[in-house]
Amino acid sequence: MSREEELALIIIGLNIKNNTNYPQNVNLMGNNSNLLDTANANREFRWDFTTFVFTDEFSVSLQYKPNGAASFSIYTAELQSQTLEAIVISLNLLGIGYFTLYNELGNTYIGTYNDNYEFGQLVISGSSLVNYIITEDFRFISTESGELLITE
Amino acid sequence: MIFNANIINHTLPAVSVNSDSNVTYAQIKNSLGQQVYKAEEFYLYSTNFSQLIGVINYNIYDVSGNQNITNIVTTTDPYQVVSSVFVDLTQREKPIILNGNSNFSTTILPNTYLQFQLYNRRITNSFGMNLFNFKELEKITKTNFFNNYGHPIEEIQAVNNEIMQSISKEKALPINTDTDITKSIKENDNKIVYGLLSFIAISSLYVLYKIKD
Repeated sequence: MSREEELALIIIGLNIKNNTNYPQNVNLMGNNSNLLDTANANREFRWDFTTFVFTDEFSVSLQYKPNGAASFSIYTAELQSQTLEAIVISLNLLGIGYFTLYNELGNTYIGTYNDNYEFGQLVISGSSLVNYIITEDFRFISTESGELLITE
Repeated sequence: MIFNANIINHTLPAVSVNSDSNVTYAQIKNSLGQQVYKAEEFYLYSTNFSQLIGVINYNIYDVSGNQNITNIVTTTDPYQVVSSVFVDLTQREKPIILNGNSNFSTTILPNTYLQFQLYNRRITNSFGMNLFNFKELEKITKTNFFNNYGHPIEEIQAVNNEIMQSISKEKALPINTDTDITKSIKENDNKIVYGLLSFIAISSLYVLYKIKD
């Protein structure tokens, strides 16, 4: 019998139930700092996208803060395409819980469940990020007065 | 365009997770790190057959924060009737360790119940595996920190042998004492015998002397 076989057999059993009408991502058996584990959270934050139509929006930003924090932080991400699914993908890159797109009673929502974090306004806007194409080697120099000079 | 959040407090959580023992799910999570498990097998049971077919992602982070993702594909036999599946994890290239820096993620289908059982062996956090890094640091800083830190196992065993031998010698001492006692008893017995013999000899000489008179 190997050393490992002598060690105690431990069975961990979990009963998991999705109580919603749409699929839910779960993240289990991590530590308490695992922000993706929102199991047993009752508080839902959702944003109504029923009447929203894309025009030239390529950026999403979201206010978030831990419970009781004085002010919101803002998370910003670019959209890979002009779809609601792309918004969900970008929001899930935040790493706090899971965001889901779903329909309920004829309305379209993006929602997330979280008891530890609060979410505020969600803003869909034009691209806030600028794409730079670097054609030559440049050097950034900060002067004593705080200016940033770009030299070749 | 700005969207304000609607906050709704539901009576039921979106996903409820409960332990099937007296220990709660929160307590299990809190124990991870202190208790380290190596998962050997999964058991999945669901009322929804489709839930058993899919992927369970196992994510583990090392001390540097690097993430390693293992996709565990679960599938059912086309002829099976029972809505459960066992997944063997022992043949995997990398072990499935639950130490607090790892987790499982998957998708639960709408209104679906899933029983998720993990068969684990309790293992320990390895100590000493990372000492190599300190050893390198010691070389660079020339601190000799690990001088007299410990001994190789063979040396320890050799020292143990010496100790065992000395103990057995000490134990042998009372036996020698017993031997001395028996020896001394025998010596005392001889003295009595000699005394008796000499007394008999003297008394017999006296008797002979009296008869002669």
